[in-house]
Amino acid sequence: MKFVWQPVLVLFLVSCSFTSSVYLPELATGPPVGTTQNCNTLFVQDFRQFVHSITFETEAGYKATLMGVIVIDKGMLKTALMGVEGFVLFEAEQGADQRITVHRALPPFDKSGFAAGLMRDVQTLFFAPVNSDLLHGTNVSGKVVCRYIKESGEVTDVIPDKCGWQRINVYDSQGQRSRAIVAEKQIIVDNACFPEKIELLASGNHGYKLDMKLLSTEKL
Amino acid sequence: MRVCFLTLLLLFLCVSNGMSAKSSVHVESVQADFVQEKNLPILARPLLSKGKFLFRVPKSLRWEYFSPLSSVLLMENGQIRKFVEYDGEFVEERGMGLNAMQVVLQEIMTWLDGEITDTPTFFAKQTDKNTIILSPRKAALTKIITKIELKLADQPGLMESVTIYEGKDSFTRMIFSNGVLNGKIPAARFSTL
Repeated sequence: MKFVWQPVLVLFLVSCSFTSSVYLPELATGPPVGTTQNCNTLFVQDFRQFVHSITFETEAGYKATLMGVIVIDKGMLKTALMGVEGFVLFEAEQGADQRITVHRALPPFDKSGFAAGLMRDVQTLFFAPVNSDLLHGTNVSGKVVCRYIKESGEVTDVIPDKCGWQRINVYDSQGQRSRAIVAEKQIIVDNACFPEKIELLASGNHGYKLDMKLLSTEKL
Repeated sequence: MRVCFLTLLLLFLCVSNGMSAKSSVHVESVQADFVQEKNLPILARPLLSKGKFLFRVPKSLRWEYFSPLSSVLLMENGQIRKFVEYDGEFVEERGMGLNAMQVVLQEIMTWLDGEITDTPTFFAKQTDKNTIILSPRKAALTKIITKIELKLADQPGLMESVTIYEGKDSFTRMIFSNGVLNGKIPAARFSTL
């Protein structure tokens, strides 16, 4: 019998593209019986400063560990990245109008799009999505999900933990997952929960991975 | 970034050596503890780091941080390697552009004669008995570092502090203590973790 390889090859290629992407899952909407959840309280509620160690790894194999400072203060979001030795490699701030002002950017952090991408990641980690419809539901694993849906079609699924959030997945307007974020080991500071460790996976052409470890946080 | 930091570090060490030569102290090795204060306008208070460095002529260096993040930078035989603690283990950092070491060594050679003079990279000015100000010659470096202030210790060969200014309100200050001149340092300290 003649072996027909073409359909097998096509099936293989299609399977590869499916397994390399994760798409927006179905949600059973409506909170589970007996559950009350204020999704927005999963995020930072006060003005404070965070200092993290951030191990940054790209698909090309570039790996570096930096110290990151995030300051949330009266409508302003300020960030700085510095080497362990103290040199500031990147410093920027974003106001309530979402306008970003870059004060300092040394290579490779001076690349077009880096500042906007960094601020977007910081917003995802510390703030509930704004200008979004909010649905409560459960996913196929039975976990409670807070689903924020933007007018653009971007969706952010936040899975709460006993304290704070456990996972955040961001899907683009095509329903493809662009960010997969996992929080490990929540700690309690000033009666609020913060992840001690965060892993962020960014998908796409310029994918990267961030491993963040909380070094300190204080209220301003 | 890596070039700038190493250039500065080795410059100050060589200034120490230079000052020592001027004061008839021959330096073979230097080691000291340090506290590093990072000051940035956005910070509620300075970020503090602690560490220790070891230096042996002509070109061996170990620069180690213990907190808040553990890391070790080793320099020997023209090679630089950097390790950072990650999940309890030290992992070597890659892709950091290590070939710039040649530039750093050129700076070192210009200081070893014992005189505090200008170099191709910095103007040097002694403002008082214990203070030297280094100013970058080139505009490109001025965008990263505006000046460096070296405070010499009373003991020849040792430094009290180094302050690296990145801007008016942005600076890193390293304060040294427990300095030891010409102590015996095993060679392995410059090549192994």
